[in-house]
Amino acid sequence: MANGTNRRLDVSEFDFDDIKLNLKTFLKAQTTFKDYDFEGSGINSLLDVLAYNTHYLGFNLNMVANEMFMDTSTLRSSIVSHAKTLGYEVDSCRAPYADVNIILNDSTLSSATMSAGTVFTTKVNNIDYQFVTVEDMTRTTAGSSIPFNNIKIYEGTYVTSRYTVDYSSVDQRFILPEDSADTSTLSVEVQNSATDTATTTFIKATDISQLTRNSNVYYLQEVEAGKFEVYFGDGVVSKNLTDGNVVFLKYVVTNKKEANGADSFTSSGSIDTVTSVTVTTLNKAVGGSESEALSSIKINAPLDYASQGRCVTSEDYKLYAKKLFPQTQAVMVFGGDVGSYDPSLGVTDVASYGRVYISIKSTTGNVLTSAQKAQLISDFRKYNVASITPVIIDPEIVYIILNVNFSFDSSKTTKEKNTLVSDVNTTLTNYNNNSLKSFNNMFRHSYVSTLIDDTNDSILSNVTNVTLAKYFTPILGTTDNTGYNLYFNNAFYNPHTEHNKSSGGIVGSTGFIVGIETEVSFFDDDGSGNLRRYQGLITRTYIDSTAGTINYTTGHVIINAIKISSISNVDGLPSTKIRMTVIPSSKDIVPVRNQILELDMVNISVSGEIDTIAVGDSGASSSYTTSTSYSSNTSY
Amino acid sequence: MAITESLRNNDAYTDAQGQNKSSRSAQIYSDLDLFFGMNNSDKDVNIIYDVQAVKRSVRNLVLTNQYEKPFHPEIYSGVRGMLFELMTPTTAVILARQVEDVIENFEPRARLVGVRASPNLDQNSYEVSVEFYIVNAPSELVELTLALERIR
Repeated sequence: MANGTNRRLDVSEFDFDDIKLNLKTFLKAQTTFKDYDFEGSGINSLLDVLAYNTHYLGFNLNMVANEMFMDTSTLRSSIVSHAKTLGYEVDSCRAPYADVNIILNDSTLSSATMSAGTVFTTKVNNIDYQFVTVEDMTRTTAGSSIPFNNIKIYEGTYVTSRYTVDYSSVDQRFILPEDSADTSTLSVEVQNSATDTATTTFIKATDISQLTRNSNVYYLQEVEAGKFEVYFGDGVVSKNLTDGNVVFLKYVVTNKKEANGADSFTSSGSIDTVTSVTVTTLNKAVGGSESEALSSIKINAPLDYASQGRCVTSEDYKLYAKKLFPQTQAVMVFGGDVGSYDPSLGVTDVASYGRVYISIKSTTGNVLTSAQKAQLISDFRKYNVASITPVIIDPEIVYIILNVNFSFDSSKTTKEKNTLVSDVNTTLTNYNNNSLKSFNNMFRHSYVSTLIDDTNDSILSNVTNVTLAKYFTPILGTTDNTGYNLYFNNAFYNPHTEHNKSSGGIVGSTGFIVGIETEVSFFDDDGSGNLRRYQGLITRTYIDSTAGTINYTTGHVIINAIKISSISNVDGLPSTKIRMTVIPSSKDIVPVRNQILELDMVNISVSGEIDTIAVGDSGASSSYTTSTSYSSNTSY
Repeated sequence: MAITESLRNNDAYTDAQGQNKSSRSAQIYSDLDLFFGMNNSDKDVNIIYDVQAVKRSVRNLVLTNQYEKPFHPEIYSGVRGMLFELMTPTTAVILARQVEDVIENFEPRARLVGVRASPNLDQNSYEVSVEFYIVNAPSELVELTLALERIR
């Protein structure tokens, strides 16, 4: 039929219109059907079908191609499958867990057994939740009671799924049917048969190179709909099951995050016939989380593969910190070669080889509890290189107090000054939440200054001064004197010796009372590297002119041994901490190692003035005043 | 499709037989027969020509609903919606206008003379009569009549 020259069909396009155009071009080579260009024609309808079909298949192929790579796949099943080929095990949701001491008040029993699934009840936000134990425990009497100390209890319901092995069924799978099962609580037991009740406990396989054909291990994988499947070896890699075996899967089905924070538990019934049960909370419930997010799998699976199940580089530790401590919001790791931590000195740049320092900001709060740290160190043990000791340190927060003075052209806006001030405050709040509050997030002064200018078209310029603040918690009422170290790790403003000596230098602090003194003391400096303690808000009476030292270059403040007996209010509220403020040398502030920068939104000062020159005030140029850039406040 | 053309379903097929392969045309239109009738001589699918092809095309356009054409929601007549309106002379005028619009916009081979839509109250249908010249055969007025009615 085709007798023209365009006999070759161009197949390079995937869009409907382009495909249809190519088909029309192809049809130009023939004369049998000439109406293909008219939208109402029959041949045009046929081209619609052909082009739509091709487009449809092309689109489908494109989506299939997307799902073939972890980077571009969007379906959970695809991402999980890619992760599986990298040997990465996707985290299920996690139940909140709490540490408790349970005491059975009974003097008659010599021992008692608390079985897995023992229920304790609690309330969070006035909603009832139950926590359960996940293993059988037996303890002996301690006289009048039987103590079960340091027991982990998990929020949720303790359930058992039972399967009888039947290899003749091709569909047989051992699936945890609930989609909110916490696999970290899973225990797998295999009973020989329905009549032979001898059972074997299988453990989760972690390293295939350590297995033999008789290893009693199971494997775990996420399957469709976010459920998890347990499967077993084939008799070569590890032990396989035989027909008639009965598999018991025992685990906790949880409400995930909802019961985080539960801190008061009561036993809901008798434990081994004892009804008088006392439950003491050691650590409130933490750790409840959703199953691992797709973005997290995409990031962590290749890293996990790269680390090969071992913590060697800083990146390995970051990955495993997130994996082992699900509430990790941000993590910072540095080796002992670039710094170290000493309980009395804090984090310094003194090298301490053989250690790796891990600082974690948790989603529940800034600081990990000592129990969480101990658990994490214990969890890390499996992955550590033998000679390296991990140390968990708290993040240090350096607050930035801004003093913003902006001028605006009132003829360019209908907003009042107070509204603009409020808008600038919102800008700073957003900047604080989005660009600070995490490790390695630097404060860049010109960027913030531009943000303030861009808040409203009418804002013409701003002068923004920066003060740094850190808190320290003194030990009160002790008989011994205690010294303190504060590392700002940013140079202080000290253009010359004795800078601003008469007016208190560049250091300030909130008030405190020393020993048996009755008047409130404060700190300042003499511009020559000495910290001074004074009293009197209006006229400063120096009590101690060498209360400590200041290194203006490194940003290190040492407070000599001092006996602080009480602390004044901070920002009008009772406090256990003293705030020390300094003026930095640079207005760009860098967070070093475990430091996190954060704007102090309570003390930030924002003020605006109408720009008299911009609004055309006659004589404005002679009366125009500007804000100074050289007098940041030292005291807040 | 919610529209049938009742008795005149095949009008476009039959009433142009005499004008197939018109020798007056400088350009002959030829199209696929969407009824997929068989040509007895070569056993291949029928080809329709000239007036018949254009009439089929007009009919196809009028009966096309919005979104029926993939990726081209602008190609439709909208008569279906009108069949669900109250049957009044005003509706008939609007319906005729819609038919006019779709032919003007998407059938360049038809030089439209007029469209009439007459409500047939007894049968709940409209009789739509389209008169046009085919650009390659300007001497012959072509009339296409369609009966449009709701089937539900």
